[in-house]
Amino acid sequence: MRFAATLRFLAALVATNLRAAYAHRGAFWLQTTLMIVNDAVYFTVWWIFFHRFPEVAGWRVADMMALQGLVAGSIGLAWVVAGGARNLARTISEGDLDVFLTRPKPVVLQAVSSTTIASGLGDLAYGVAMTTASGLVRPETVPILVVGAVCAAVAFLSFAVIVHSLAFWAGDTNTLTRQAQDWLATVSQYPESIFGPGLRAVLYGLLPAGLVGWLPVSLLRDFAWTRFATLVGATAVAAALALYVFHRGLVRYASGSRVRVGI
Amino acid sequence: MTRAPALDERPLGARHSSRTRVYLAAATIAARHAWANPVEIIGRGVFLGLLLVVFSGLWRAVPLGEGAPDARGLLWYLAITEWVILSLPLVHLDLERDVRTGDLAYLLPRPVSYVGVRVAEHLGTLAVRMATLAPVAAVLATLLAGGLPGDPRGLLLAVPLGVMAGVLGVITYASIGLTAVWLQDVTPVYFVWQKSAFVLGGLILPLHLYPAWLAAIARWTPFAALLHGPGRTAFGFDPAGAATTAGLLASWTALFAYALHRIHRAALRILDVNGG
Amino acid sequence: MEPAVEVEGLSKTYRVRIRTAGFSGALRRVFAPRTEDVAAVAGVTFRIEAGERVAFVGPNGAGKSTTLKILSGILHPTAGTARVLGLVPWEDRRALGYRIGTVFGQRSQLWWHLPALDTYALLRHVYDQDPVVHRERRDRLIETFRIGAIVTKPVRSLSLGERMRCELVASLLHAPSLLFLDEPTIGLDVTAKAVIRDFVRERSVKDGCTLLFTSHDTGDMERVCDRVLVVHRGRLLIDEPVAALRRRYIRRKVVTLATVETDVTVELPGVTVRERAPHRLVLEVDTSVAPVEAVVAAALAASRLEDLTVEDPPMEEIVAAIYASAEKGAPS
Repeated sequence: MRFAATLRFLAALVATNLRAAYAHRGAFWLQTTLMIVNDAVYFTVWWIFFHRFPEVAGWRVADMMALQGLVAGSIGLAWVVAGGARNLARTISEGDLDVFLTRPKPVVLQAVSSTTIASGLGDLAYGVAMTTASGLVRPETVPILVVGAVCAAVAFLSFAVIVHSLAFWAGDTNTLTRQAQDWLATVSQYPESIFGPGLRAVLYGLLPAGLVGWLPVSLLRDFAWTRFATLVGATAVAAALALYVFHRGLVRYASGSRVRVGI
Repeated sequence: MTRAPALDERPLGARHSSRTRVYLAAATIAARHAWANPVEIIGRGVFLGLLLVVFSGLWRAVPLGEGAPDARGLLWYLAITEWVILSLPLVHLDLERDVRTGDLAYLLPRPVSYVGVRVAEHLGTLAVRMATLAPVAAVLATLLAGGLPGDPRGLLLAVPLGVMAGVLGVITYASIGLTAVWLQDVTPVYFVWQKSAFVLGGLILPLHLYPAWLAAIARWTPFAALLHGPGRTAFGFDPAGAATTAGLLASWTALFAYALHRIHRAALRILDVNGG
Repeated sequence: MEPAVEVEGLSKTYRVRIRTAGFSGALRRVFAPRTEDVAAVAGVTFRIEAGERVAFVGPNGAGKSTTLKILSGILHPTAGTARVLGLVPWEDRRALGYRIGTVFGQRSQLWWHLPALDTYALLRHVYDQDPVVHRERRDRLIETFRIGAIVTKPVRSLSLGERMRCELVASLLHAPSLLFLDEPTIGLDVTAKAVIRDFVRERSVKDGCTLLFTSHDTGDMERVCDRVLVVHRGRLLIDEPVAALRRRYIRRKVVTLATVETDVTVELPGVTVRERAPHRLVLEVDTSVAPVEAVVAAALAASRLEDLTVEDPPMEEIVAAIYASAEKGAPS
């Protein structure tokens, strides 16, 4: 009952955000379109690469298209629904969580969905186009793609929330956190088979690149229930961890010990 | 080939030396500020390390074949190109902010060139970033590539070329930033520039591994000199080639400095018209 | 009946990190920070009954906003207890959220690029309000606060006064029993302030909504509230009805005479001249020495009066006097 009300609230929140983003029509379309161009130009680097080296550790250009498409699309989805997560550290360190605390809805939800990032729609559109063009998606695998993309988005957001929550303890860490988000987005776009097992463990653990890129794509290439369960399970764990860390930080925020500059 | 005088070197009678002092002061302050931010410096180092780690795996897995450069050279190439691109401060964001907040209207009519001061500041930041990232890049590349490149003397050339490339980068970013007077939001322009640099500058793959027609096109753009120029020193010691690159970098820098000057003038005119 | 707010020995101490310049300073800040304790609120105790309108007055840094944030569930106190509408704010945050409203003068709750109506529609979901009830209440509030013409315009195109009225409507949509207002009239011109004060007071009287107002504008205190709590350096100095505060601390009256004669002299012990101009004399009267009647009688005897005004000194002076005596440590 309360869950349904929260979902309705989230839907209304995202709708309001989209309407606010669209209020500046010109900027909205410019940012969306240019992001598509930006992503497409970036892919040409890889197109050139695969032109020279057609197969790398079992990966071909089509696999790369699916991987990049999925990562870009999922991150785009994350930024559309939860654009407030991108600068959460700044929100925290500037005390902007105050208003959210006085409202009878989960603070973390209000905070991450406080805005939408218009260029995310560009990433999303690009992702859909790329994944489709890769040829790895057939009508019967579309549900897998959707679940995979949602898990990837949730995993990415969970990572973002965890790293941003450091601001509860360390003050304005926004720059560093934005960088960490870039690290995750970057690493997720490279085929995992090029990494040794040790590195893969580190990368799966610290930067959940596996959840954002490799696992979902591997399900498209070759489905297996075990890996599917791992993806959904691990994403759920990541989300739970993110909520836990954020709430511990919130307790600290409420204890007023956030870092203020004193001379 | 002598460089055309950049904005801050144009003589103007007795005011010349005092203006240079202002620019120098601006650069020093910015450099000190950048130095006082260890988090950012470390973060940049980590990102570079991550990329080198990823690519050391990639180049090991790629069947390079004969006629292609070795994996070690490719990794050093990447270390150099990333060193240049990651060190570039986001000049355009500062200029865009000045335009957006309206501060530009106050800053432009000052006796010292506003753009000159901003560029000087960012050159100071660039110096600190390049100086702190270079050792990190060198150490990581040595570890991950398994040693120095085939002819380590090439690295000696990488440093001056890289610095020149950095200067070019700052000037072009400043030009992008100043277009905020017309565009309001210059981030999309920056993104297009950045991605073009990746492709046409051969960020991860040296231009000589590109399809011939594309490599030819790329060499006509400033990006080839910006990234590929310093990067290819990883493949051998080529003083003649380095001199050519230096010449190209200098020419492109002069061209963009002139473009910046014209954009600056146009911006001044616009702000006058708007009663700014 | 249960009090709306019950606070006992409430304290809030902050630990502030001291920042030193330079690279080594920045590193030290991360690994071994030096800190200092600052008491924002120190042992505050008071009660507010349902329907009361209370002003929290004090200079910057006095602890007003901190107290408000504790009572609205934003901060946890370091010591002491508080109950708001029967709930402990930091423990029952969600339950309390449905029943309180907040207005932050320095932070907007409205979506900047959209009309206020869009924010109101979203707020219905925040408070899980029934659509029909919501619509009726919303329309009534729009009428009361006279924002009908501006609710369809993007918030960024509104003046500060207009925006504040929209914010107030937003905070009242879910019919809260208690409204927290943190510096709601800051930055407004005199007319806008007066309008807002009137609307807020009227609404509170009609709905029976308890008001807790923080401000360093004593006009807010006088026009809207019945009771005032004066805080200074985290301590509660005064807790009194506004009228009592006036009576207790005002031993001075300002008497202005407009006379037919160019120059008039009124000399009495306890009377000092504040201002002297042709046909005009402004006197400050210490009523403990010279009662007002005596001064008026003397003025009538000394001149032919065209006009006579007897006023209280502005509230600012009263409050400033209270702070001054608190600073000196004199009993207030």
